[in-house]
Amino acid sequence: MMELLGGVMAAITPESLLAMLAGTAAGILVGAIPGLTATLAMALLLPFTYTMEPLTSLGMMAGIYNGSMYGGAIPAILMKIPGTPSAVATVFDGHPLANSGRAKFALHVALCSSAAGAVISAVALMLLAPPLVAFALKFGPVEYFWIAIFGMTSVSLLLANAPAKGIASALLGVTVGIVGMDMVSGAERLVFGIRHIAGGINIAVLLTGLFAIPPALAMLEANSRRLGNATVTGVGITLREALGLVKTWLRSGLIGVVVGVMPGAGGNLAGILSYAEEKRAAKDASRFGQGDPRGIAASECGNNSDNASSLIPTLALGVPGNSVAALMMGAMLIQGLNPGPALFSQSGEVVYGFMWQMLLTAFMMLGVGFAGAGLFARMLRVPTGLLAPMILVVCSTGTYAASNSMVDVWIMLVVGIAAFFLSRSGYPIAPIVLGAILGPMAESSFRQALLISRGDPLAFAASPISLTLIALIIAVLLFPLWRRWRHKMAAA
Amino acid sequence: MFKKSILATSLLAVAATASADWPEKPLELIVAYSAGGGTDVTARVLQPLLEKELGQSVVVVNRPGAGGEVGHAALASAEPDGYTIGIVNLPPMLTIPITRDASFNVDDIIPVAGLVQDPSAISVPSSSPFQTLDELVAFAKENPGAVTVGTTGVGTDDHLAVRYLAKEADITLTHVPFAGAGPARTALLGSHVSAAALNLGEAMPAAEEGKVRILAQFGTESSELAPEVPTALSLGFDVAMLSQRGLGLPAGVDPAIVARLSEAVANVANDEAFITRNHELYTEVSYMSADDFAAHIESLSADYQTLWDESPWQ
Amino acid sequence: MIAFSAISAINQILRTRDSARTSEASLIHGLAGLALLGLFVASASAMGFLTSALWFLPAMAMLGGERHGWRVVLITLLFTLLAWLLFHLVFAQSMPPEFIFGEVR
Repeated sequence: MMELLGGVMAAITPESLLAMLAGTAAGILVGAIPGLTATLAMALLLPFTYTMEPLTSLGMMAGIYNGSMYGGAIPAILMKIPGTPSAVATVFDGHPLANSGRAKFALHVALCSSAAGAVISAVALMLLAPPLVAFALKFGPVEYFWIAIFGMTSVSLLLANAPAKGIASALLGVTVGIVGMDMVSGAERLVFGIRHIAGGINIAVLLTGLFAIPPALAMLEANSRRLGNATVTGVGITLREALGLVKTWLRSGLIGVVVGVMPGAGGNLAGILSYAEEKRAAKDASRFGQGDPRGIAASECGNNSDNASSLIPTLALGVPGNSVAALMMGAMLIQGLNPGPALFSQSGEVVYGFMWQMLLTAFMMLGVGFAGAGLFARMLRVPTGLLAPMILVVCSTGTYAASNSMVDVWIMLVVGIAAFFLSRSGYPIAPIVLGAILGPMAESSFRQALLISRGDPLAFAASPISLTLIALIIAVLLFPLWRRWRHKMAAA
Repeated sequence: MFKKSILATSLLAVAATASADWPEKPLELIVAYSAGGGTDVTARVLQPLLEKELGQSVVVVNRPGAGGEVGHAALASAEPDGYTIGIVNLPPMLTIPITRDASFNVDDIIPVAGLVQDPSAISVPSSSPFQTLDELVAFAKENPGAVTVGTTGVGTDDHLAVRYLAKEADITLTHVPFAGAGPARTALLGSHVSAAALNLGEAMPAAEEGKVRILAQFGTESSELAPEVPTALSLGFDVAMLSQRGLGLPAGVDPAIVARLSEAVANVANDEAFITRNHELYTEVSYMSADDFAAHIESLSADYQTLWDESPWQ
Repeated sequence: MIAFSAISAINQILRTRDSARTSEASLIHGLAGLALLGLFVASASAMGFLTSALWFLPAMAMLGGERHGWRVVLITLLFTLLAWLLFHLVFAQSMPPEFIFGEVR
């Protein structure tokens, strides 16, 4: 506890504060430009960190991490394009709100929710790291398998309108996820001789193609011209409205923290899962998809609350939970820190200072966001005919910069073409993402679990966690039926 | 005849001056894995010291993909003008062309210098009943397949180490591949597998905190970082498997440049700061000259080819 | 099984294409936009991203119905300059050699 408080002093030095502020502003900006992700920004910042003090570089990274998870909501709301892959679910309710003239409100909801998520996560990091690590270690291949299945059943909730098409999308996503070297046997699947993808298709590339290209093309339509003005209309959020979202924040915050803590669950899931769960738990879910603020709140809180918590396994075990955490770990290694079991005893002050930085940047984000949202929206007042190619250029260039490979850019294009035709035919795009991430996870976990149990299927119901997850999955599957039965009873 | 020798001499002079002035502009250092990973960190620790040695800036470029294949292929196919260098990883640089129809050949890369190494090792959770490697082997003999060993992936040095060990000890182990060192280590810490084959540097932080017990390491000699961990060789198992990183140049580069780069790397390898930092990262600095490294690669390549021909591991 | 799914997916798409009533781009605009994007990517590997942006932005703007020529040119130049600053100076990335800026390391 003493070291924790000692960390505050390290975090509030002028250099640290400046770094955090710069990082937060840069993060929001990077997040708000579709095609640029936090991963890319950090990867490009990495070489510079060598010459900086540890807390300066960590402060900047903390700011970028938190800021970008909010920044992604800005174009998601104003232009229907998620600025970062994590803001996918913000589009569902954010854009309709903007369309009905309440863009400012939507942006504020996103901002407050993002800050709430970041705070929840930072607090979890500071206070609950040891028990959360112990909890995370209990998850083995069996548990990961059930988590993946649980995630995919949430997909069924997102597909209430067209289950068949939704499942097709999810399967398409699984197919995309299969591309590459199979982890258990080493065999290459669906590679077709393209060496670059022998390691799999980069999820960020997939997401950029799916979510940035079709809306950018839609901007070329004459009747969408008015959206290009992207004026931040309407009134902002009131305190009462904000307080009304607290329950949503707690729920999504919890989901985000848990998703972040589990190494291997990957990023980009927390927002979608939180949204699905919020929709399921809502008493009146009819307005989801048409501008229910809880949708934005769930998605934004969720995607920010897996930030600090994803650093828990990174710092405590040396196992990064997603690509951003991996980069931060690399930066720490370069700085002379050794993330892992020995970290707290070797570099306690820096580590605790960093935890405070994750918390403080949440508040900075609030400040910068309130002040800057209008500014950014004004920058979007470019004619849509030009905005579209600008977005596409940045997406392409950003995709190239992330891996130095043109193949990725071509893949982005192909995915974009597919997404264009799919969404025109009414196929939901979000399940593709879930399929691509969770499908391979489910498959490899299943096979690992069978290897460990040497073919014994009962191993899948052995641990309390597995049983809990199985019960949750059954509940999720049966819930719509139960609700319909209840309606019938009420009507009778 | 005379003209020809004048031409030859002048060409030689030009070539000699060209390489004498190398490097005249910034160099690109290719890393075949993503930013933030182990190889990337090695490169970034090397980079500023190498810049000082060569007097030119060195830009680290990550070319991840296909388990290292993309990066090594990028190095192999780069312009052999001496301005593109790369970190070469063993065993991937050798095993990838053996196990599949890869986009590069080992001959396309000139080994310049060996730099750091990290032996593979076999560890168990601290709660495990096995105190020594012999106990684990004995148990595995009695119960074939009962001992599950997590590794960092199919075809990695850790996987090969497990295969060699099983062959040497004449036991059957159940190999459980994970998606890398991180997931394998997590599975070990959570006791989801009976043992795990990880690099010594990967396992040591947890061992120091008492969470895992390293039974043996597969280096050729005792490690200065963990002198108390016995080598498998010393326990009677003829297995040597290490992960090594060195530098390479595309084939066709002027030998003078190769020598110059190798010399620069040797100076870095002797630098106190470099050695200390690597020790903090639990890797050993073990410099090999261009010729030694090339010979080492040749013998390793032959070994792996034999193992593959006998019993392919994927 | 993959083949079956692919075929059925394509069938679905072909069948419903005409009755789509989503807010996506119309077929003409969308296809033309995609074609332009394809040309852009191809030209980017030859000429560099930013050089290609110089022709891509005006081309797509025309497709989108932009009339004011001088505004298009101005914004294109401004954008290319900003992007150059961002990617080459701030990020110091190595990119496919730019036709106009020479080889970038």
